[in-house]
Amino acid sequence: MNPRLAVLALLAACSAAPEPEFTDDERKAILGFQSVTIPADPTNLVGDDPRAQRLGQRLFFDTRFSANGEVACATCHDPSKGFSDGKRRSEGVGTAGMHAPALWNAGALKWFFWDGRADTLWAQALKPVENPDEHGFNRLAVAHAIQADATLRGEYETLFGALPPLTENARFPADARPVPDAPLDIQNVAWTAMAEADQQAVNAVYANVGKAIAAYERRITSRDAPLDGFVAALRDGNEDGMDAALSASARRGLKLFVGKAQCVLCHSGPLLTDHAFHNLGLAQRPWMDGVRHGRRDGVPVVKADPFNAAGQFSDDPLGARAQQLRFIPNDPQEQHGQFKTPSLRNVAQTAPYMHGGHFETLREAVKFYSLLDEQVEAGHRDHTLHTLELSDPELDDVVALLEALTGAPLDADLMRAPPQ
Amino acid sequence: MSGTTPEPDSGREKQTTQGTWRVRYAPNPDPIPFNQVFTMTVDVLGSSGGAAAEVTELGIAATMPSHGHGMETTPVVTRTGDGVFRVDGMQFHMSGVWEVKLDPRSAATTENTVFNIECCGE
Repeated sequence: MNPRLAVLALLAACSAAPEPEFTDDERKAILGFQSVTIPADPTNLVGDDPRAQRLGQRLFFDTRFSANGEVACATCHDPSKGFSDGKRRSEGVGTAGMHAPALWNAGALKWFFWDGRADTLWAQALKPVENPDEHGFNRLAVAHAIQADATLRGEYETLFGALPPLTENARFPADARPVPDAPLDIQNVAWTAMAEADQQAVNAVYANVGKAIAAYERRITSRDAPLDGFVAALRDGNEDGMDAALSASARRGLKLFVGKAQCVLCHSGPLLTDHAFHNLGLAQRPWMDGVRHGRRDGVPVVKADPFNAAGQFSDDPLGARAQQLRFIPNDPQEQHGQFKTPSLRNVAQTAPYMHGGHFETLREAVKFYSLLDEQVEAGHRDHTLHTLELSDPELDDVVALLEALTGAPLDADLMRAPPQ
Repeated sequence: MSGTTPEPDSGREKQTTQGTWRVRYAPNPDPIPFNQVFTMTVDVLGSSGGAAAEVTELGIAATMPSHGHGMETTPVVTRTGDGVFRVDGMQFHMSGVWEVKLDPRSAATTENTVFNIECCGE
């Protein structure tokens, strides 16, 4: 062969098969970080109804649904703070036991709360309302508050039909809720005195309130993060697009994330979570009020919850979510100390990190995974975890990647209460 | 990483470890959906190729050797006929190769099969 042609042929071969930056497995994992889409939720028939979204948005920002008139969902899920609150332990009427999870892409999750004690987004929305440390409210008061407000009542009845005859005070007390752990609680006494049919009518209203709030929350969807641009460019084989989407540091961080650091073992897929529960082996923090047992305590709660996916208020009681509930492992020993793998979308907005706000910065959190230098508080640390011995520049690179998961802001009209 | 990633199997039928039976599985839905509960029908066949009526139980375990964990669900096995079992409540919550052990049991013996199943198609 003509030596000049041979050189040209060599150059062509080099350009056709450049040194791969990622292995095939790494590339596959990265392509799995595709943009977020929110799947339908058959357990909530109004989940994608714009009227429900509007009502839910009103309720989300409404502080009247709390014992002191000062707490709304938006108190701990503040849109200006990535739908979280920046606190180690969230503060409603009192101080909550854990750090409020961010709501980004909650419509795509399978389990809710750090311990998975709810299996639908609408069931999740109900629990803080009656938690004495969060809204400190009750389901009867919720129903009465909707009835007393012409806008809320009109929007509710358009969607769900007439409210029960709540003005009949003898049947529907002002404040009541089931409190199984405290039978003598005045609200439990009022609840147990109600006719069962009236209890169920109120439960149906309460479930509908959750479904409307969930309809709004399903719109809190992240988009257009730098990583999304990188994944699209990688899929298209667009090297320039890949370079433009992520900084060199974030790109090195991505290589670590799917390679040496193995973050991808649990942080995979569009939301960068496996939707599962793990025990990281975190130690106690002085600001936590005792040991949190995690999934061990969440499983019996979700199984017994009348508002779960298999229950009578679910719109799909035999569907996939109900199946998921049916086959939850009953393994308290293994589940002890396990907490849900959070999505990493917009994670840079939602410090502090872990269920108890254990770490103030992303760098501290990544460093923990590298060193695993804490004594496990409950159960045993997942066998998946091994020390990584990341260098300081490598820690910086992983953090740069995590910061590249921050997407475009939500539309402004979803960040506040809708106009009357 | 806790272990190595096995290569996925190309077929869905295997001889048991001691060679007494052949085990064949069929998922439903097929292909296996990612992170959704699915069912498997498992046929246990004797040396003549017919249903192994003597197999009264089927053991099931699914793990990801490369990650050192099992499924997030506990499956339930039902014998639906001679040598035929339905496994409800399977769920692969991570992409990659899952090691699924299907162990037929008769009054006389328990034998083993291990299937390496890729989750979850393209």
